[in-house]
Amino acid sequence: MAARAPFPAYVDNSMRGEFVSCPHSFYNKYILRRTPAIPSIHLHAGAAFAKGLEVARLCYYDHGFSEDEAVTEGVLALVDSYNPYVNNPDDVKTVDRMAKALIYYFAVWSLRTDFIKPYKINGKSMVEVGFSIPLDVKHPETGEPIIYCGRFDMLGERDGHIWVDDEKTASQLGPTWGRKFDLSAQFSGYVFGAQGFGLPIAGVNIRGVSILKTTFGHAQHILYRPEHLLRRWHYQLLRDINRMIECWKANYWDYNFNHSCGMFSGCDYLKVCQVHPAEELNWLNGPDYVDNTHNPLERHK
Amino acid sequence: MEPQVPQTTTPETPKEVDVVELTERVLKIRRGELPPDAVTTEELRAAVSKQRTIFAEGVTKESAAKKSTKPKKQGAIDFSALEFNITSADNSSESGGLF
Repeated sequence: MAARAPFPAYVDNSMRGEFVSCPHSFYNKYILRRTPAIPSIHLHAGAAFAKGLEVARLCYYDHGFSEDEAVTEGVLALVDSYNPYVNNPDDVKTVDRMAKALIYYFAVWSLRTDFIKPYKINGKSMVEVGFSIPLDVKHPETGEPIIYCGRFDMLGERDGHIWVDDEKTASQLGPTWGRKFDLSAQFSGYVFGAQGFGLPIAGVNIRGVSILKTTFGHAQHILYRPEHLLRRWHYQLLRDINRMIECWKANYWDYNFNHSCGMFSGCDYLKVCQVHPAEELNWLNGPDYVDNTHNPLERHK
Repeated sequence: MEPQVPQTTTPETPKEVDVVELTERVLKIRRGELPPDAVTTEELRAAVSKQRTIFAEGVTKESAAKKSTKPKKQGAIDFSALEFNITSADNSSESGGLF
């Protein structure tokens, strides 16, 4: 019998989201650790934008740069993070559009006058905040607690209250843009993680920048996570991880065979799920997929 | 923090260059297609500053236009001070005219 691929030591919101969408997709991505060779432009561009924000904020709030100097350093960091991704001709989130989007962000929410400033611990701004918290679920192989981890853009302070602050890049912002986050597990997890620092968290401040071919837009949304919502999310998280473990023990990962297969431009593993079972691994080990190096405990480059 | 921009030893008066062109030049420097001094810190900073000013003016004008078209009812409570707590209206349409 072939050795079973190990169960991950940690779970983050992306992993939990993938599992609840389709356990088989989770299996391909996080157990077999195969991911599309060409990453999503949206994820790649979003990560570069986050890097630009981080560097600009650190330069301004911690290193005494002027606002223009800080934003310039942010633009350079964004370009370095984006490189060497090669765009398709119809990509909107190109490196120059993302650089302009970063400048747009700091035109709307100027570093100098922004009502949310980074919360500081030991004199250091809490930007690109990572957390890892042991859960009450034991790893099926090691018996150690499974770690829940994540990373958000900033712990911010406004009028003496502490907020989780996170930025989103989008193709379109509509009047209901913010509502889709109202129950989002991502932000419940961020509040849970931020509370791990022993701080009272007022809520989540989400800012969105839309990137279209010729214009930019922006929106802001506030979320609250009262205790009952956090408990509901936490209980669901534990149930979902236990289901992951059951699938791993049974060595069977259910298929969604419904909306998840056709979301956006189609599931990353659409082809793999269509071939004969004997061919699945050949496809996953073929040129369309590479090793998934996703590690939520690492900072993005 | 170490500066991440190619350094020049002879600062010049910044030329007015579009931020898109400069970004592409930085990318070419990173890929080894242009020499490290193909963009100066001053050039990039001037372009970023100019672009930020253009954007800020556009956002201010748009915000003012929205306020002036907002219908006001007699005796209505002014919620504008609570703007922080509501999602701002969609301004992402292509006709936004931010440039």
